[in-house]
Amino acid sequence: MTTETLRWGETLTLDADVLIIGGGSAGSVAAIKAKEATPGATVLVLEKANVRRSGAISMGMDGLNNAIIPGHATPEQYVKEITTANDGIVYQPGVMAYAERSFAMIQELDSWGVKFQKTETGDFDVKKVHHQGTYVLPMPEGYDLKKILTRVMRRVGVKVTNRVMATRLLTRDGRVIGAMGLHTRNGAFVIIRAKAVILCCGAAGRLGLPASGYLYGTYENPTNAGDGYSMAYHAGAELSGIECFQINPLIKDYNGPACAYVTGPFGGHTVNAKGHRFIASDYWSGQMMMEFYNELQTENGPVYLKLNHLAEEQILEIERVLHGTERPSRGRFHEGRGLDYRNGMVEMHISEIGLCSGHSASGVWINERGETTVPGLYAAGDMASVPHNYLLGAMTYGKICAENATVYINTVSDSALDAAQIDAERERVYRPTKQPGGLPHHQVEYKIRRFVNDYLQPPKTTTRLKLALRQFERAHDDLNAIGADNPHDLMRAMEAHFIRDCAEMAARASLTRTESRWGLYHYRVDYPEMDNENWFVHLQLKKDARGAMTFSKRPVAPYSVPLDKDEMLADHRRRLPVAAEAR
Amino acid sequence: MAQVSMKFDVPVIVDESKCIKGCHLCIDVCPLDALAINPETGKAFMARDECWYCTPCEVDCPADAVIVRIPYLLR
Amino acid sequence: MNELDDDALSLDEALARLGDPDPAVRQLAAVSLGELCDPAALGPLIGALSDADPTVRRVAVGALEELGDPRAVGPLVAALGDASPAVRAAAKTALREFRTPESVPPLVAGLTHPDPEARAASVFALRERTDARTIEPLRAALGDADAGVRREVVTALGYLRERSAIADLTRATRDPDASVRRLALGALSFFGDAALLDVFVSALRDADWQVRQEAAIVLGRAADSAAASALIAALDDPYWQVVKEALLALGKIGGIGHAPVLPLLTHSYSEIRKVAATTLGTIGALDTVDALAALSQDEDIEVRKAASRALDDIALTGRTAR
Repeated sequence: MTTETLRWGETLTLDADVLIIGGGSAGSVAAIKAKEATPGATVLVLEKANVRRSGAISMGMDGLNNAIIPGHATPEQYVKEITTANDGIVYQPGVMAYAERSFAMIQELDSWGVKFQKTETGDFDVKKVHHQGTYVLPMPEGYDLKKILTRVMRRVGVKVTNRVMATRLLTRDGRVIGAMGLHTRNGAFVIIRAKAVILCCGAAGRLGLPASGYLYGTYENPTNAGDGYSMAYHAGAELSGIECFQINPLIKDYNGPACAYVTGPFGGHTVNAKGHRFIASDYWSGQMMMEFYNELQTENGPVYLKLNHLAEEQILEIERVLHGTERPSRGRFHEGRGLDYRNGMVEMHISEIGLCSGHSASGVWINERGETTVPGLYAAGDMASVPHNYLLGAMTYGKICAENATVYINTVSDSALDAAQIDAERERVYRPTKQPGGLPHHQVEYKIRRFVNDYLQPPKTTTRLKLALRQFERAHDDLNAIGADNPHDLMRAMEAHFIRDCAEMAARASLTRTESRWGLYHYRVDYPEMDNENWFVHLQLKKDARGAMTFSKRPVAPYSVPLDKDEMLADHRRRLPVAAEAR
Repeated sequence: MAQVSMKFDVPVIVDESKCIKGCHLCIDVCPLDALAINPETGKAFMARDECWYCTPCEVDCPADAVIVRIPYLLR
Repeated sequence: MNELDDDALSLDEALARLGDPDPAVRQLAAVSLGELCDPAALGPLIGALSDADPTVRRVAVGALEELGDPRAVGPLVAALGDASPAVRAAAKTALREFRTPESVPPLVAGLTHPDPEARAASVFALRERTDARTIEPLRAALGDADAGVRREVVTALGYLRERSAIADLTRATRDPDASVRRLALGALSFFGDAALLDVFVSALRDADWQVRQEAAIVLGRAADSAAASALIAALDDPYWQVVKEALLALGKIGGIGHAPVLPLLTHSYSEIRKVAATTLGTIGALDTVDALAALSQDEDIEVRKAASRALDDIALTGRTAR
């Protein structure tokens, strides 16, 4: 398909001091900071696509949702708000580490040329959208974010290898010593030796099947197939909160975000079919999505984004932002449907499920230094367990991981690679090439994801979760029967493996937590109440020595920012008078 | 195994009259690796129906040769 | 970072082909130079800004942006007047990326470019530089015939936070262009100068709603009670956007009675009812309790929430009617 010479089965070996897997927002910043900290070291970014436009923020971001800027919000306020939004299950030191460094990260990005909205006198133009704190910093010119990050990487001397997808981490004596993968254009097997690895692979964004049935019409960048979740799992790292799914509000069918944080400051509303605002929850959370879901079941559904009460000047500005940054094609979607913000409302829906700590809370467990439970392995961004950390959290943790990884590399020397691991992975990766007439990857993927929808989409039930597990077990045979005759399809085959792993993790974690929490994200019909006595814990998931998926409870660390009882029962527990029109 | 080939309407259209032969910026930037060079014409085209309709191919093309439509199933 | 290395041009090949008679060959050469990002290509790329083909020129602009050498700034300022809109747009974007002090003099020179779009783009690029050398040229440019230029100049002066420009910015609040007036208000509010209050208050009666809205925002920031009666009058504005900011400003100023705010609890627009409820919570008058309680039947949940919270606030403070 390309002019690239095929190097099927050949081995490419690379060496790095710090290996960053994933060159999105988290990975790019991690790489820059790692190289700045250790200019003499080899800092290598392994990117499955091309860093210029890779990752969730391929076309930039139209705003920061969780900027903590002095004068507008405090870290303590923020930590409280996240703790409440996540029903108390947070590792506060991890959230605080982000909160305290959030502003410095913004200032550094600003110095690199990332464009934030500013007032007429050059201050950050922070907007209040949330009820408590003021955290929204618009970025109407955020479309060149990746161009800027890529430029800085080049200028500081970061090495970038594009079009290589990592498939498994390499370990020795309980530490991570590198990775293995596939060159997605020439088919070579790639081995990377590294003293430290920072995983920045993004969300499990290709887990649920979108309502449209189009495999790539996902909320997240579909390239983010849960690679990092799966690789960390197989390396023996602990994951956390996998039962806390990501379910987002989006534009129906288009499947992109409705961008209430952008339209909110202009006065846009999320309303029901009668045109009235109905969301009681003050924070974008599982509780908010539960209310959204409930509204859809009533005669007041569907839900809409309403802009037709705004002035022409405001609508023009919204169009300029939303049709230029993050998901610019939404303008042509609306045009195709004959929808104009001035005289119609944008129909919204709830997304397929995914795993993402950017918007929700599931990920590879990390502490406030970005360390996973496996020495030598760090994680940042949507795949690391810091709840609701979004774009700025991804970048800040990229920085935190880099700081710690560059210290760690001085404490270890090069390890000998494990030939058994390499041989096993080579066999696994190239198996589809031995049976080119095997099952097409897209059919196998479609089927797994359809079962995810059937059995994992909340409301969850025990019976359906168990049925899911049977299908995900069967899927091993299908994955082994996939055929591929070119590197691109081989990449997709390996992604199907990641997807299956994430599906099984999501099902088992959901079964294990026998309570409901986080609103819609983990709503179990057969355990409908929150059970703080037994379940006020993090649920950790890990691959044990025999290769089985096991669970443990990790106590919630004592709060450094205490909440009083009222704050724990805030927003959704508030007894609101019900309007005359309601059910 | 019994297999067939089928046709798919794909979202990305490349205007060959504007596409610069030898350039492959769109192929470079696509996060889905969905674009390729047609060996017969030397110009870019969408080789797979695996599109996130994200638009870097359109935006980064120096010759304005690429147009991204919404995928048919979503339109 | 180009993975299809089999057919990539080398630096020498690309430089040689930049002079080819075929524009398609020159286009590819320019693209290749952009990818290679080699400083040796600086001169040839600057030369390519005069190529007959607009695609070559556009790619050359992008390549110069990537190289980042400030010697390209002058030629890029000239490219702001290119015949092709795509080249002009690329140059406008590129100029913002030259962030060293050497970029300032050629950008200042751009303030006298014959094309108003080019002058505006030069000022736009200067905005973030906040360099003292730009103060006098910018003050002079406030008299530009083109409103687009004047809009950029006001913002650039605002970023400079230069007291010597206060009189100029105050004059700009009376500019024939509404955007210039609005931006000038925002820039002036930074100085916290009580003498400017009259300027802000009279802007509450501007013909343009966005200027009136900005005036209310700025008065909220100033939080000066001398503006209270003018803000109360603004509660009758035909634009809910202005009413909302006037309400928020009154909330910040404080010390006002509930009487002007109470009728807004039944405003046709939900956001006004909501903000009015919140403001009454801050005012804390017991006389407003019944009206707030009636909002428990409002069709909009944000209004119901705000009313419920306002009642909690009043219960906490237990203030008597004013």
